[in-house]
Amino acid sequence: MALSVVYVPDTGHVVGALGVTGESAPDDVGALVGSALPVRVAVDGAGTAVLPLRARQLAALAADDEPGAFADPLAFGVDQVEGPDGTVVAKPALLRLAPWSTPLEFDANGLVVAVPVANTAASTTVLALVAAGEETHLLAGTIAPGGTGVTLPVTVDTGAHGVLVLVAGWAGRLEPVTKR
Amino acid sequence: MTAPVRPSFHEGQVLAAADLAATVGHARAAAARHARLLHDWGIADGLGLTEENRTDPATGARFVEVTVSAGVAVDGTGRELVVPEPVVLAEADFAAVNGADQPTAEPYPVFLAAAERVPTTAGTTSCGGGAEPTRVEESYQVLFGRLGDELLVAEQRPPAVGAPPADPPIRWLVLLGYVQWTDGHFTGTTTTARGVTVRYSGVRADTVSARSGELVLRTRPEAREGQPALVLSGDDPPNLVFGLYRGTGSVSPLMTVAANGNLTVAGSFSGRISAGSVLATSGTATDGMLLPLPSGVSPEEVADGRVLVHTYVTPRVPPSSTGTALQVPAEASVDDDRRVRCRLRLYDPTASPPQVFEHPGAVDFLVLVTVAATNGGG
Repeated sequence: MALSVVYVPDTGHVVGALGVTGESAPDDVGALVGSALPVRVAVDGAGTAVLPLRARQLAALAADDEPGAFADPLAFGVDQVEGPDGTVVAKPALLRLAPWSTPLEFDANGLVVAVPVANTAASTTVLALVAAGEETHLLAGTIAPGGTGVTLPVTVDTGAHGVLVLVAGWAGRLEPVTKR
Repeated sequence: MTAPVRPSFHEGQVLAAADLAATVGHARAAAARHARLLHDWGIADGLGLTEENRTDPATGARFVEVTVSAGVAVDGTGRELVVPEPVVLAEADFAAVNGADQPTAEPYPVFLAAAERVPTTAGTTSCGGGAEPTRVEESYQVLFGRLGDELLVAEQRPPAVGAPPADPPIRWLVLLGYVQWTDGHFTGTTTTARGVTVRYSGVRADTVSARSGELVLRTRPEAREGQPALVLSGDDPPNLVFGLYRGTGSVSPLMTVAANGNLTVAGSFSGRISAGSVLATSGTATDGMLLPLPSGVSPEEVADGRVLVHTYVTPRVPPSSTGTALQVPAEASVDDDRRVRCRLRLYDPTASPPQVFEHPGAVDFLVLVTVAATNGGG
């Protein structure tokens, strides 16, 4: 089966996968997701929140076979390296990302993201989508070298919100987060 | 204009120069009509522009010496233009025409045209003692055109069907190619410029028949490995083959039409989907992804209703990671955009308190595309 994945180049996270039997799968983002990939998350008491990842925020890759990508695409990442001509090249072998369970939470300043282990060598890119009613907030930040967390500024109402958090090198998290 | 007149002779007739000239003229006219009306004019053989690297001893600049190779062309009047040996193009001749131009990388056209000369070795005396030449050399001249003169080639009009052989100064330009000119030297050649390319001779025929039982069409005079060929074979059973030449000179079939109408192709087949056909694709997709169309089906064909899309999805329920949680499909469907909607509901009765989660899932899919026989499918 030919596997194509859609990923977020900024963090490398796989967010969707398509396998086609006996022929090559499309490797064009538009053909794979249309104008956006709707990431859906059940929110307690509020039905299902839709977090759209725009096609321009995504890239596609013909990847090596990885059955686990269908069960949990956010657990995989795309290894992006600099090619000989200076362009970024995505490797076809998917990386299994480290799981983490540090609670996500909103405080007065925004969404608090904390990973278990610091990266002392480089800063860590963090992206998040937060559903707030009909709106979706796209948040971006970095965890400084040696640090373990960052607060992404956002103001939301109290209650549960669908959240997608992508921290480079760590498995993606898609879950409801309650603002108290 | 009269029909062709053939000279005839009888015993005791006194032959005049006009009688002999009419004999030659009749044959020339027949040959010219054949060349003009049964063939398309152009280069028949050779006459390519070849380059040889040179260095200007004064400036050290690199340039090329351009040579017209020996060959034959037929012009639009039916005249045969024979270049019996290679001819080096004279830079002075080019400079006389284009030397005053501003420097440009645009290539200049080079033409071949008929010319008649009195050969230096021809006898010029006759029994009558006159000084008229008795031979005419059917020669040629190489002409340099100005930028854009290549357009003149298409504007030339052939003579009428019954017209006598054209003699110079009636001029017909046969495009040999183009030369590039830099700092007083030729620096390159090409066969195409500004949409006008070198023209080669052709054949006008409604029937082309082979004597060997096999008719071959190919794109080069000689068979080259990797080049295409179309072979119509009258073998038993007969067939039509399109393929590429092997190194052995035989044709490796890519497409074969057998005598019973069976079509065999070595590659994939694409094009308009025939009525009644069913195309399929299958695989696995995660929530939110668009299901692909089978190969050969375009989104436009789906959008305008030329084909019907049938989808069938089965949710994938992965084994429980804890051994105690129960997972069931909460949703598994495809919307009008062929976008997958799949969620799995997970219940872990051993958790405290017992909890229910929903998370995106994946489906195994089958997409069938059909063309109804009544909707114009081909």
